[in-house]
Amino acid sequence: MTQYLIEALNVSVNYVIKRGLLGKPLYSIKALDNVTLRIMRGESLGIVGESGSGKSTLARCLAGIIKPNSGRILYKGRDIYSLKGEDYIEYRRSVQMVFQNPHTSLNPIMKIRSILKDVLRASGKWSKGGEERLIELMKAVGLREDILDRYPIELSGGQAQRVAIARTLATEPKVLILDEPTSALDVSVQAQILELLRELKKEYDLTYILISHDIAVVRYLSNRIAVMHKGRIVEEGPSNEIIENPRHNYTKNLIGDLMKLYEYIEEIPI
Amino acid sequence: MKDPILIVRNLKVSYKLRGGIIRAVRGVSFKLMEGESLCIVGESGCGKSTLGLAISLSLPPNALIEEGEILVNSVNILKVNPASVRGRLVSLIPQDVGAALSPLNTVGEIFNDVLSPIRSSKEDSYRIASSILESLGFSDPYRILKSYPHELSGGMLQRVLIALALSLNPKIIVADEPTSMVDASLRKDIVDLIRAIRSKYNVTTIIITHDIAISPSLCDITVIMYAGKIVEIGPSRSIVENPLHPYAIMLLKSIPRIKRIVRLKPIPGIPPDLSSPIKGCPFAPRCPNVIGDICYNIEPREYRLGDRLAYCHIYSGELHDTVPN
Repeated sequence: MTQYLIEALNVSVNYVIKRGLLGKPLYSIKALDNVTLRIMRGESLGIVGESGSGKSTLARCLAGIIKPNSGRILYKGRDIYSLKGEDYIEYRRSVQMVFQNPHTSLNPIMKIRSILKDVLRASGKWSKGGEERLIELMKAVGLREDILDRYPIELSGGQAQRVAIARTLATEPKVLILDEPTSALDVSVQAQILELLRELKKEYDLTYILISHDIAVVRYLSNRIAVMHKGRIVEEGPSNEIIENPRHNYTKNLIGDLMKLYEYIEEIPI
Repeated sequence: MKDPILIVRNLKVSYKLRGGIIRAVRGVSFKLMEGESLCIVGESGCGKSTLGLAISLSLPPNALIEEGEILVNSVNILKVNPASVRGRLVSLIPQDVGAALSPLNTVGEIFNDVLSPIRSSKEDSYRIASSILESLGFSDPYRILKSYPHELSGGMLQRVLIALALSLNPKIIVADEPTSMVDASLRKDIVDLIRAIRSKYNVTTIIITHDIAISPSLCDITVIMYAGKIVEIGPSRSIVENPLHPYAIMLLKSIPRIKRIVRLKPIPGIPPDLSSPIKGCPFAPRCPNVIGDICYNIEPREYRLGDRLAYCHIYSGELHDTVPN
């Protein structure tokens, strides 16, 4: 039997919008509705969908940030909420998340050096040769050493996103969950980050879960795509098949609309 | 031959900040003919929004137009009373749809305010507003007029803002990033709507966008900006199909495609700092086609190549005539 690296089984999440006098939920929104998703080691899975489709909620469930109301999240076949001690820490170390806006996901009052040091310490990877590890991390994401002594605000969007990626690499993860990693960036910077992610995946043998509303970005990095709509996965399959031959109406319309908008650039031979 | 609806001549705009002066637009000239639509394309900080805001007389108070002219139908709009131009000759569809309208007023009250130069009564303004809203696809315009902005969805607000921009019958509408913050499905609707108002209201549309790939389906003419200057201008389709300026070429190579995987070639380096003076071509430090010291020392002039103007020294060896003016 195939061993999946990370799985979501029949996961549902409700966000409570309004509570009664004693805190009893009166009105809630179903962000995820019985979603099952399995990711194998070394895969790169893209999740596409419009705002409010539940794609970020699913990512946060897999990262252990949001606890589902029902259903289970498995890492290496074990329920993450049953993991204890060292096992739980290993899961947290192995599954890391990169957020959309690096300027809000990096602590503004800490220098990059301290941000990375903290992560290394917390994950038990800080030792005497730690300084060299910091330089190694900077190199891995294509930044110069002197960036270590800057504050996040002094960095451009692309540089800050590289730091955010370096921070996740510090824990030597197996899975990176990338939540719209390039949508706050310009296209030329986006291309730099996409190329970096492609190289890192090879070099560190990573598994990617990439969330984006931009189907071209997802296509670029993913071999499999799941399409989400209204809290459900409506279609899932190899990237080529989903894009060339979409089956669900929502996917058909999405790709049809995009092809109309971008027909000229799509047609140009390269 | 049609007349130009818009002529921008040597426009220079800077911002005064605590740390110094940012030269956001550093000398831009172009012409737009009656009936043509324009996309201003570029990356963050290239000056595209500043140029668009200058044309719609909507610059923030710390901006300063240092030099240049903006002529709409041969009238220099920088020299006349702004109130007679804003909304009536040129108008703006702002970028942040959520923050653009007063939350304390109903849409009808906002229309009543905007329409004050031409309406005779509140009923009159409701009548004008509802006919515009109806033409933009609202089936029950009076309900919209009675609503507060927070009661409308993002897509509805976008259409209300388009209606407001149209309400005084301007010649030119500038839309600042109308498609950037919306989902793919809504993006298509907005593009269709902008194309529809162009013919319905006989208005020239200028779209500011960072998405060069969308420009051929939005506008006839595209201007690509870099570091406060135009690097290339010409018909949108020709630019996307066969860009001439090295920056435009590289920009198009960094866009991922939907239907196939093309290995991306990112542009190395970062754009120059606009608070210090720039010598020579602003793109030279990142350019793979630098032909010599000339690129670092002399600002490239415009070279006409077929239907295009490109500002790059690599075309200086060929004998091209510059356009007059």
